[in-house]
Parts: sequence; structure tokens; C-alpha cells
Amino acid sequence: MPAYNEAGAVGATVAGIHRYAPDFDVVVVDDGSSDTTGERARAAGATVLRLPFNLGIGGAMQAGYIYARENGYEVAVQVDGDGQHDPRFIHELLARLCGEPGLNMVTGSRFLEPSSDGYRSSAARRVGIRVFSRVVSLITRRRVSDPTSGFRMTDRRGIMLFARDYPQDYPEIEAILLMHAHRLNSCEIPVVMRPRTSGTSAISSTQSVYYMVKVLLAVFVALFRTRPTATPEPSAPEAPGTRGEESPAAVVERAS
Amino acid sequence: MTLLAAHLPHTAAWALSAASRPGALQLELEEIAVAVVISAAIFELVRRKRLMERYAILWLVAGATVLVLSLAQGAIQKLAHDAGVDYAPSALFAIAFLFVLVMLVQFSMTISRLSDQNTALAQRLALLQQRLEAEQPGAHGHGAAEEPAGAAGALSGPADPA
Repeated sequence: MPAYNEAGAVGATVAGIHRYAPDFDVVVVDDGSSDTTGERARAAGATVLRLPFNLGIGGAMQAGYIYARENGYEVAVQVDGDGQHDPRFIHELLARLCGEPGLNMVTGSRFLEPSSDGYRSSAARRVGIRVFSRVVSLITRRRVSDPTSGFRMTDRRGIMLFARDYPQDYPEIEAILLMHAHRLNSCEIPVVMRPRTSGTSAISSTQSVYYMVKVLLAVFVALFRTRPTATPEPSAPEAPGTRGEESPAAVVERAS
Repeated sequence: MTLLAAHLPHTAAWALSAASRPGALQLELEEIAVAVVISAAIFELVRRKRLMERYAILWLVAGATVLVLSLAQGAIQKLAHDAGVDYAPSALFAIAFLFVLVMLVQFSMTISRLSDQNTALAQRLALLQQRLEAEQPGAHGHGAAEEPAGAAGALSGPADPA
């Protein structure tokens, strides 16, 4: 997913990950930025995938998952490039993912704990998030409190799935359903998010209506897709990747 | 005309009705003209290689359909009558409209496919570029001596756009 015109925040975000999760490699997907996002990210020590033009969040995120697939990473976590996601929670996500057998994805949720601190988006957006929370929970028969959270960690099977097929435009909600459709398991842990430090959100208020309609349509259509009866072939324990032998995980940096 | 009409009752019926309704014949001529102009324009675009044959076929079939239906007034009259349409040319336009609609859906599908392919190409390009830069940190000649001369060296130029 994109770090799209996040030159003001991307360096600090990469540095934060290096500090609090030093065992992760950081990959910034520069989604056709017109500013110095790519240079800042590289200067901060990240690997940069520079897309030739803006693909949008879904296409950029998938580029990160393809990178993780081809370099043999066992775990990938997507983090917003704008600093909203606190890298101190990365190891909590990792502990949960590794601690529960059969778990394929862990999402950091803003709404699991009733504490009032932390960033929880604007009131209008929270209403939309609650609607989607209900819908997604109903479909997956599992409580999903924060379906729009992009702070997610997946295992190798999640990486393989997302590298092959990842929703476009506003992918978070559809990605949960995609995991569900492939009979992969996901869960949430509580996290605290921060308001973005610079740049602008990928979703302006005028686009919110389109967002709602598009995602609801996608969710509706997805209900009529046949679910694969068998789970996707378990990723054969691959030979250690060409990269990341000491650090078997990739951070896929994103900004929305 | 009367001779032909004796053998083709439908045509005769239409000729009579066209004669009794001024303007119908002129409208038919206009339809023919439109069909011919469209077909000629499509042909010219294909000749100049501005339009691929596979898409030209769609448009040529559309033009030919309009042409055939506007000529075969008997058929269109009968069709319109059976469908309960009073004014036969309306039925012709309805058919043409459906055709255009189907083609637009076809184009939306084509755009979706091209968009997907475009995304995949952009992602692949980013990954390849990253790999190239990782293998040749210096680019532009640095460390070229250690590399087997050939493809890798030749690629070092485009690898670094800066």
C-alpha cells in the first residue's frame, strides 16, 4: 500500500519501526509520489518499491505482499506511513499471531478497549465504521470491531493469498472477507492509534459516500462468489528466502 | 417497383405505407446514410491502424445491422407490429440502442481487464527496479569490473533514472 506524498512523516515512521521492531525489514511502497517520499524512506534505511504511477492503496499494498512472497518472508505487517500506527504494538501483533496456532491474520483495533485515549477517527466516520463492523461480523460470524484498520499482520499463507489477490481502492474491509472466503482465520487485538502527523487522508469527506457504496457493493458481490472448498495449499516450508534470513519478517509500510 | 412488389408482398406493403406517410422514405434514406458513414469511418480507422480489427468488427456489425434493418422494412414493420410498436423506425432505434448498450458493457469489461494488467505491470516494474538497484548499489559503472560483463552491465544505465 502506498506511502503517497508522505515525505513529512515517512522518515520518522521508518525510524520508529527500526527502533521498536528492529527484527523487521522495512519496505516502503512509494505509490507514485510527487514529493520526496521515496528518498526520505531510503535515507531512513527502508527498502523502497517505487511504483511508476499512483495505483491506489490496494495496488500498492499488493506490491508489498508480492515482495514479501518473493523474498520468502514468513510474516508481514502493514503499517501506515503517516505515523498513525504505533510501532510498539508490532510485537504484540506478532506474539498473538505466533501464540495461536491456525491464526493467519491479526489486526490492531482501535475499538476493542473502551479507553478514550488514542485516535479513533471523526464521529461521522465512526458511524460508517460501525456499520461495516456489523456487516463484516455478521458475515464472518466473528466479532470485527475495526474492519477499516490497516494495522495488520499476516502469516505466510496470508502473504501468499494477498500477493495473488488483493482488493483495489479501499481494500481493508474486503481483505477481511477475502481471508474468510479462503477459510483463513483472523482476530483483533486492541491498539492505540495516533492522529496523522502530516499529509492528508486518502479518503476525503466527499469520497466517503463513494467509499461506502463501493465497499458495500463489493461485500454484497463477494457473498455470491463461490468459496473454495479446500483451503489454499499450505505454503510449503520454503527454503530460507534470498533475503531476510536473520530477520524473517517484513514490514510493509503504508500510508492512507 | 410494382413488378418487384408483386413478388415481395412485404416490400409492397411498406412501399404503399411509405407513400402514404410523407417523411418515412426520407427517414429511411437517412438511416442508410448513417450506417454507410459509420462503416466507412470505421474502415478508415482500421486502415490507418488507429483501431484494432477485433473492435472494428463490433462496430462494423452494428453498422451492418442498422443497414440491413433499415432496408428490410418488411421485417422491421412485422417486428414492430408484433412488439406493439406503432412507429416502425422506433423499433429500429431500440435495437440499435441495445446494441450500443451491449458494446459499452463490453468496453467497461475491457477497461477493467486492462486496468488489472496495468496494475500488475506497475508492481512488477517496481519489484524489478528495486532488485536491480539492490544488486547494483553504485549503478553507472561502479563495481562493473566485478560483474560478469554482459546483460547486467548493459542494464545499469536504465536502472538509475537519477
